[in-house]
Amino acid sequence: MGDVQRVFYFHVASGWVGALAFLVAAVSGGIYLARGKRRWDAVGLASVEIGLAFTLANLISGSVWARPIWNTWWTWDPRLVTASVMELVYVAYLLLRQGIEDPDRRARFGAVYAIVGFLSVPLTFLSIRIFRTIHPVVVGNNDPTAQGTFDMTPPMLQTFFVSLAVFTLLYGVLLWHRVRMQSLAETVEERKLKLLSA
Amino acid sequence: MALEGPAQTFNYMLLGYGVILGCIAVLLASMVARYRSLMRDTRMLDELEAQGKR
Repeated sequence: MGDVQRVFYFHVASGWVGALAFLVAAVSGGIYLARGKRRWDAVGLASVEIGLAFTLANLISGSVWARPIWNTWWTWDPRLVTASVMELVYVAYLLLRQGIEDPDRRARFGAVYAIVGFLSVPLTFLSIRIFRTIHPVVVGNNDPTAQGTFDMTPPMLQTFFVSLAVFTLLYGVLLWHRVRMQSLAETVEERKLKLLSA
Repeated sequence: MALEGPAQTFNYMLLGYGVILGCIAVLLASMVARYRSLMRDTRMLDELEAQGKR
């Protein structure tokens, strides 16, 4: 593969953060539905936004990696298709949210959508095990049902885990700031409404 | 014909890194821009509220 193999550490870590972000959004949605506190809606929205950016990075870097290895930028492989569908599901989440004016209704919709939309995440993860594909299996590659394999040497594994840890930390920091910004946005919105009604 | 060494894919590696860092940079820039806009709104609201009290 040559040097392009090194994209792997960022490519997989981006995909991991995308999946984690969508999981956090689904869990936040569940907590919002149970408790009704708007802060959980802010967590869900923030997490989806971050997840979208990292999933997009994962998709495009995968395409860049595929060009010299598969000799194509894109192929209708089950993993590529399910990952793209997952991205579009969450793009729709943001677009549909914008169409709802009532904040409580918007938050309820966002919570239910994040939970239902999360189905696309395990489908993407399992697609390389369920369907015939040219995409290698990285996690649990000793699975006998897996079509492709990706063996790593101990130094590669260490680098891989450091990369996962750093990206997870980055996600945590971004989520923290994005949630705080959402709280500020809600405060500004409330103040504007108060000023207009006065 | 035997391969002489690993494939020359350095440029693709750079492109891959650029794409990933670019996506993160766009997310960060968007967050910074929205934060600045919110702070501008906050200052404007402070001024309007102060004018209203006078």
